[in-house]
Amino acid sequence: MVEAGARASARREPRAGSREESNPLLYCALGLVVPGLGHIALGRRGTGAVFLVSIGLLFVFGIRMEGELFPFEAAAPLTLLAGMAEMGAGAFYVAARLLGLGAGNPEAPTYEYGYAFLIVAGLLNMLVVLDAWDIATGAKESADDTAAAGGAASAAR
Amino acid sequence: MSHFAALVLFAALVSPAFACLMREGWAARLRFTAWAFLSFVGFAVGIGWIMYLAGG
Repeated sequence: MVEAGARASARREPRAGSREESNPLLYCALGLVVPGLGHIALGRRGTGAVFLVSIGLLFVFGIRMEGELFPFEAAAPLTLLAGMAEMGAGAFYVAARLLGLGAGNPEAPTYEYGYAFLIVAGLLNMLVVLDAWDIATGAKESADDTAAAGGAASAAR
Repeated sequence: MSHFAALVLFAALVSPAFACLMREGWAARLRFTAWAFLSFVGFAVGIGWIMYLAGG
């Protein structure tokens, strides 16, 4: 019980001289702008690349399937929520808006799939941003950290 | 694009992202990706058959 509490508090406290000392919000902002960039900045390049490719392709296929980037209509709460979810894709969303893409074609057979892809891309990136927060604050240890801690412990023995 | 192709594409893109969020180490992530992909496709096909048989 006491050990578990000590472990939990140790997890919350940033380690001196580590990346946790820098502002976790910075990594979240990077991840929100470009999917995976927060993880890349945290030194997890492979993981960041997987997020960038997965979310990027989800968004691109969503647009190709004639999915819709929903407008922000306060009168239609579900449309508003869908639009907010799609915004989570960050740079992809902004680029699509600037290029005039995502008008959507409700008559296309893939329309529903398209906007589902777009919404999932945005929501998935929000999860990725929360993951970057956990890593930056030390709430989630990376496999490298665990291996390093194990190595240090066995060296101390 | 057929419904099944869209399903497979969705599963193929989402599974590795979930694996990176939920597992540490590339071997565990690869296993989770395969499991998630097969689950997405398997459950969708299964539920499709249930709807077909129940509705038929």
